[in-house]
Amino acid sequence: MTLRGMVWPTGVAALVVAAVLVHWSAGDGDPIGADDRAREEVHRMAPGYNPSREPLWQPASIRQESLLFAGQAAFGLLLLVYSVHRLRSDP
Amino acid sequence: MHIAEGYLPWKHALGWTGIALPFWIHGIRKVSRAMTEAPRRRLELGAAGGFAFLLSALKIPSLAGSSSHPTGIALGAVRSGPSEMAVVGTIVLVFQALVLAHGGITTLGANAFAMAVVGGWTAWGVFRLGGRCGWGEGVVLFLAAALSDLATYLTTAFQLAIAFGGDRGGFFAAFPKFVGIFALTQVPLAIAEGMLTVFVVRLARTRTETALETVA
Repeated sequence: MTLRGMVWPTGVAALVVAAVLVHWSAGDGDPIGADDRAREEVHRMAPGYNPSREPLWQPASIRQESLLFAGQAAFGLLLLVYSVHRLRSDP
Repeated sequence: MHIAEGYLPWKHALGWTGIALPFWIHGIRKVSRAMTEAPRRRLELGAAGGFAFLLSALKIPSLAGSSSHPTGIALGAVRSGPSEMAVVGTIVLVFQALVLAHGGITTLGANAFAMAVVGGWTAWGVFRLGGRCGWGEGVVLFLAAALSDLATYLTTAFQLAIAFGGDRGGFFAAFPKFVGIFALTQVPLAIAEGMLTVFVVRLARTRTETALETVA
């Protein structure tokens, strides 16, 4: 790999390290998702609003939820790696 | 960026579903054509789908103790096409709505329009425009992915503002509020997604393409 080709992999690695560091420094408290903040804002703006529907099914705990998120990421990564590998070996 | 289940009045939920519908129909036709064409097209769609699944699962803590996730739509939009990506993005959204309770089925139309349609076409448009201006491929890809991400969040903010702005201060008071909520978390993520997209496109090069580039 040329020196120029190293720029992006290094950048990505740096970002991952940064994300982990931020996550650590945030402590135990799970950061509130932007989606949840938007939901709170909806209730502030329209106090009478009643959500028309609830999700059919919800993960029982935060642990279960992160497990499912990890599963989704793993599936995506597998599909990506497999496809990229096949594309690269294409003559 | 998902609007949670139930968090759009029925009229809005149905309206956005109606707007998304033609993109789905057209996209499904394009995807089924791609699946029967050259194997390369199928593999590129596979890579695009995998990337979108991976990125939208990454809940990354961002500024101000908030977290959000990138969308991963741009890669597929520039490599496979924005119409195809409207379908792939929607599959990701259905999965997240049913399995993770993120987003929802009533809000699927709105979320698909914001992420898969606006996000995909923005990426494609920026990519074509940048290419015509003769900018380097890395720069154009980076901009396509980052702007696609931001366009998605602006659309979500717009959808929430026209649905809920009416009661107090109207749309123009509500829109900046929702933009503020999303923008803070989304700008760093858009930059990260831009870099990752460039990385993966370079990785997915075939040997022939890489060799040609070295010669040129």
